[in-house]
Amino acid sequence: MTPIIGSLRAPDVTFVPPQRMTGVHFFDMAQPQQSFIRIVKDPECTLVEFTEKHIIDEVVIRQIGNELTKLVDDSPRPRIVVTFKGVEHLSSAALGTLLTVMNRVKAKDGQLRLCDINAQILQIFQITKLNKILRIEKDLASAKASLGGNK
Amino acid sequence: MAHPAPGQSHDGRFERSWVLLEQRDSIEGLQSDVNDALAGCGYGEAASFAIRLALEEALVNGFRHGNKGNPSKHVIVECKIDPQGVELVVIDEGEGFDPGSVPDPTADENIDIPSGRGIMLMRAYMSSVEYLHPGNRLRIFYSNPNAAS
Repeated sequence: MTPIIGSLRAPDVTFVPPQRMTGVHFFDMAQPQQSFIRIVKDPECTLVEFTEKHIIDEVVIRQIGNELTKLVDDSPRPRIVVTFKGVEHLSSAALGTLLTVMNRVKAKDGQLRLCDINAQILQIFQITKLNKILRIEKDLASAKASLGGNK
Repeated sequence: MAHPAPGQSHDGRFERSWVLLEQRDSIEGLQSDVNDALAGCGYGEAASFAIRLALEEALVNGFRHGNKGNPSKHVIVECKIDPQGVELVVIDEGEGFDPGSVPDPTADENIDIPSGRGIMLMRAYMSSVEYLHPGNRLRIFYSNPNAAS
């Protein structure tokens, strides 16, 4: 393979024109913001499911972070299980949001569990060693079973 | 057999560049084209996953840290795919930076800090990751593990 750097022949270039205002994602303030999680109240915990299979867009991640933060703040002692069923891609920004949520949960003496993580996504947690500080369980049943203390 | 991406030769070789502003639609279009080209060149799911992840992290770094979120600044992506490997060059309009200045996110004192894992993930999934002087030009290479030697 001839490296791109130093190559004399420019490859085909696609200029992607702006299709709307750039760098800014507008939400109509009169409308509720789109949610990217589904919250299921369970007698044992609050279950969070993602509605997106790719958690990589910064706007999506910020919105997920805001919703999870509200969930934590609204509970005196949160018991949250986040299931990754259906999630195919995850970025480092999403990891950062999960860490922020974990820190808030810990500050309220609550519990956070992650579960149903596929092998490729699990590898991301292992590479970054976040599997050592985020409690990851195989599935929802084991995540619920691992929750201790008062409901 | 997957359909080749636009501009992809019959033997799977693909070479293309994009000039992007920070828009999700544009980034998804690029990712889709690269994914199609990878499939057209015989790359499997593991390679697609790794390259999508590395490209996403490179783009976020370019727009966020390189261009400092300035919506009028561009990121250029050059992509070259053949049966031996995938080369991506990502260039932002920033002043560049020293990748050695990024602290190890797996160190005990940094493990619960929410940021700083993008470069680490790129290094983990790609065969080589290098920032070229002055640091606003990133070259990443994925060597096809199934390539005929």
